Amino acid sequence: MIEFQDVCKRLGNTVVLNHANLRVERGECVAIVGPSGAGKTTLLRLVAGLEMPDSGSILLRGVDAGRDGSLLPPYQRAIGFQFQDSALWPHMSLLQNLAYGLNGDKSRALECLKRAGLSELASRLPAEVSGGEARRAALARALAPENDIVLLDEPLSNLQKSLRVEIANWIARELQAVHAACLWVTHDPSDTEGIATRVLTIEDGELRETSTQPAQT
Amino acid sequence: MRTHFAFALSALALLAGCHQRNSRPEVVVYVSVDQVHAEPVLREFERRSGIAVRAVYDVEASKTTGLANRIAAERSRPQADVFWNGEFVQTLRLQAEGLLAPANPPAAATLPDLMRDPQGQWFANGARFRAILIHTGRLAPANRPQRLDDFVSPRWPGTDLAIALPLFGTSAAQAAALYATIGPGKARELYRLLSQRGVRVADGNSVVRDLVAQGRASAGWTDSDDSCEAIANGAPVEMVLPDQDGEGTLMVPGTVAKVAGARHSHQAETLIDFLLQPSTEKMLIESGFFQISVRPGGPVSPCLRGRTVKTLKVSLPAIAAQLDSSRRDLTAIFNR
Amino acid sequence: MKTLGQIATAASFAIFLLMAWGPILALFSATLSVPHAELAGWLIPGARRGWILAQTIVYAMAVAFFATATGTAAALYCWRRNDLLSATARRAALLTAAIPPYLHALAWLPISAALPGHGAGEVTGWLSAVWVQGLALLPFCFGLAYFALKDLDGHGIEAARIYGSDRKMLLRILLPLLRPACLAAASLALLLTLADHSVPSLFSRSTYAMEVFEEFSASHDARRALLTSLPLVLAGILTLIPLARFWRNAAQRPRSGGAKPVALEIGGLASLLLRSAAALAVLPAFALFAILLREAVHPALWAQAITAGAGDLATSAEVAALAALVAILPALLVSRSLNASPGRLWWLISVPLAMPSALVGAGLIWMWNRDLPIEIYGVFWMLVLAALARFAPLAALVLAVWRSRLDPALLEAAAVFGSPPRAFFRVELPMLSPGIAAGCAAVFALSLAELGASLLVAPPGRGTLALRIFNYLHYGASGVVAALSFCLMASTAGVMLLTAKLWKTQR
Repeated sequence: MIEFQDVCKRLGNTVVLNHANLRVERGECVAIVGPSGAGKTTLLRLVAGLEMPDSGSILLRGVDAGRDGSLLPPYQRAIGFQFQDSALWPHMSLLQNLAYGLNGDKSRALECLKRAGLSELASRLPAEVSGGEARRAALARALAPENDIVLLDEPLSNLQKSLRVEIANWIARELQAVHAACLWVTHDPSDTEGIATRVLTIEDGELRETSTQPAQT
Repeated sequence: MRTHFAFALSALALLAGCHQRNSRPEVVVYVSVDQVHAEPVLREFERRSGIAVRAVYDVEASKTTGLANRIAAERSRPQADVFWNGEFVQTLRLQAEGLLAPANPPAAATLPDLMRDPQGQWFANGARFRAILIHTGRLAPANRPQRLDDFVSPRWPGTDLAIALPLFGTSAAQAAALYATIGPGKARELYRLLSQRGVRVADGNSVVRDLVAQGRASAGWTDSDDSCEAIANGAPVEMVLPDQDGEGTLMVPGTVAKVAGARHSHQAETLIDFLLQPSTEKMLIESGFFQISVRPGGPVSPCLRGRTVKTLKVSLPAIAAQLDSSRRDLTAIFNR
Repeated sequence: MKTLGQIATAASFAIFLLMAWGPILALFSATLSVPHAELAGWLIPGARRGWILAQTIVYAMAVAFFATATGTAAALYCWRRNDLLSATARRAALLTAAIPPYLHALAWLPISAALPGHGAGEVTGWLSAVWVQGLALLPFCFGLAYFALKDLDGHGIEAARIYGSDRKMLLRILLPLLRPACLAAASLALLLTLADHSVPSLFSRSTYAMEVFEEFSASHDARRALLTSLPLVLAGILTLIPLARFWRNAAQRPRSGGAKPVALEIGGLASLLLRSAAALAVLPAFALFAILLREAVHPALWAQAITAGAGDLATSAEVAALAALVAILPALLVSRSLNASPGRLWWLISVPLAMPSALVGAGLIWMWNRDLPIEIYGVFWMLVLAALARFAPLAALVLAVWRSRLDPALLEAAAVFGSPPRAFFRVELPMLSPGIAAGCAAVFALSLAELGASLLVAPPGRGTLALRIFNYLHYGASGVVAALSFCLMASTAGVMLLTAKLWKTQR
């Protein structure tokens, strides 16, 4: 589903990826760990088409997404992306935020909010909900289109312990329902316990597999 | 570094605000004559008299009434000593409000009676006059309007003719003068016919000048200074002096007055006397602000090419007295 | 210490209100002596005045729409690109921000004169006025939209690109997010256009502000003019509603990273529109340069202009610099209160912006032309007071908007770790410095062009360059005017570039 072939990427003077190779199959969830500034988020942005690789190829569903961004703009890549800072649009209600990626289908958006436990807050603006609720809404937005590629950037950071388990389980259910390939960036590998099939470490431009976890279903 | 820069800038600005006041005698004059004409005259006065002139100049955006307003607003504590106006309406208005003071400049002795206030509250110091500007390509010499009321004659299609909206400036003064001379009934009828015939109504005399100069109108009522400017610029135009076989055309004199409560009374009298000198009037005619002298036989602008101008014998207060009523009528006639 | 801070804030407010509201209140106090029976006649416009008021409002709305739409579109183009056009448009906006509208008029008068009706006909006159006034205000609108774009949440934009096409993002995300900035730009453009009569008068069109002035001229009664102006002020106040909303919106916005410039794919026609708008933002600078250079080609004209105008240019620059400095000091503390309780204070600060300049001038005469221990009336400082009365609110507004963008946690941290003065000077002031620079630049730019109030209070013997240029414009000395304008442009461009540099180093 997601394949990096010899991908190089520099940001300024920092080498983020140095001839990196990666393959994530359908139904697989890969956790990406690494120190701050190592390039975990950049990896997701490369998949999403928000950054272009300097060299090498990125294949999505077997198709080269291209080095030139104009070949496959982000919205044509059919992926779900959850940003670390939620990135909800402040002028839209939670419902409208979800419906945006569903071609305005509000009933589907409401259904997704219900699954996220947010149906009561559907008409609220992002500024009118708590940080945890906003995080859940952003996750719901990433999962709502039921795309088979999902990118999650620290979805559980700054959440209470009890909530973390609950949300992790919900993510697992949603991913499994669409049998999606998922890249899950985290600084705490225990977050993905029972969900991630593999854990990759990114450091000094190198991607290394550190362990393989059995998927908990 | 940045803080030092900010402090230096502030100090500079504050220093710049402080200016030493000159200790030599001075006079404060509010000038509603174009700065480019008035400034050389005032410099010459400074050079000859040793009196420093502190002037404020008016701007066209305020229809050159800004300084008359200012004199009125300052009435409780007048700042100006002299008001030098390019026309007479605002001067007479200030006089009516008791804001002018009598003066007795020797140079006024040679002024005709109509060109000075009997109490010495204002004096004329050179004049423009109302003229008809003709596009020479559009109207043959034998076929040119010679009188103001030719504009209502069927000989010339109304849409070929232009006037300025007679609510402001010299056009308003001309209307008031007609009210005073031929009577309100006839004057009202004249303007009503102009409006009815579809004569083009421009927003100012300079617009009329340009309409004629560019051949978009055959003839238009405008001021002598605008006409002379078009001639000087080489436009295919000629200036007709209207009503020379009848009453004559309206003269629009510039006026000089002493402001009531002037702080530098003596210097004000000196400046007024200088502004009324025939030599000063000559300077202003040569620079193109005025075209004719207010004294019989005085100098005229070369733009007149030796012609003498017969002017309407009507007192300025008589014109000013008609301003409000004529304006009321004309507002209705021209639907403004 | 807290009391000291409160005293300082209260004093700032008092100074600020004295500067901005003093002249208006002075005139209002004078109207108390007007018999009630006469009031209504002056207050309610007749059919003719009503018509002019309607025309003025339509004209101001057209200017606001033109300047805001073009400015926003140009900002959208420049935000997403780093090409030559984008770089030129940004610089052109900076260079022409301080160019007074009447100089734009000078550049466009020859072209307007070639239009049917000599550019002064009913329709062509208004169109020319909208064009010139719109181009003059374009840099302000462009700047507001551009900084709003720079300030958008970058991840929000990227999220929109993932879930929809760029065209959809433009319409559903970008433009709605820009709406507050656009409304603020439009409101400012509308207010400044309502209060100004100089540009329409150059195209022989009468506005309500001119009516107010004529009322003043005809009656020599400032009270009467004040009452006549109230419908105009009311129209101005109504436009402040979106401005207040913008301010609240800005205050609520969470801090976030700027958006990374991206090449958007929004379709040929939309792209062409944005590109044209960016070209239009460059146009005034080119037109000004071309026409000013053409008119002032003779060295003799330059010599004449410099001899005649050097003193006036110095006076103008001093007035504008002092006005900017004096306005910013109380604004520093006033903006703090404005930030804390926007609702009522907002009106208090903004309404003076809607006052016609001639009335401000008349009010200043009422206020200061009296026997005081120090003679203030009739000296240079009156010009500064005139500029302050008209534009000091702008400094407070700009600073308040900037302040609302600061992270309150940083200011709280400063309060925890240092005494209030130390926190103010070492943390708050440096963090505010780009806002201070922007506020100063705005006051400086507008003060340089001030005409209506300056005319009424200019000390005898010391005029400003704006007064001289306008006086010469009537005479038709376009060569000298062009040379004078060139001097004005060069000096203001220097100030604006300096401000931009300060802004960059601080951001």
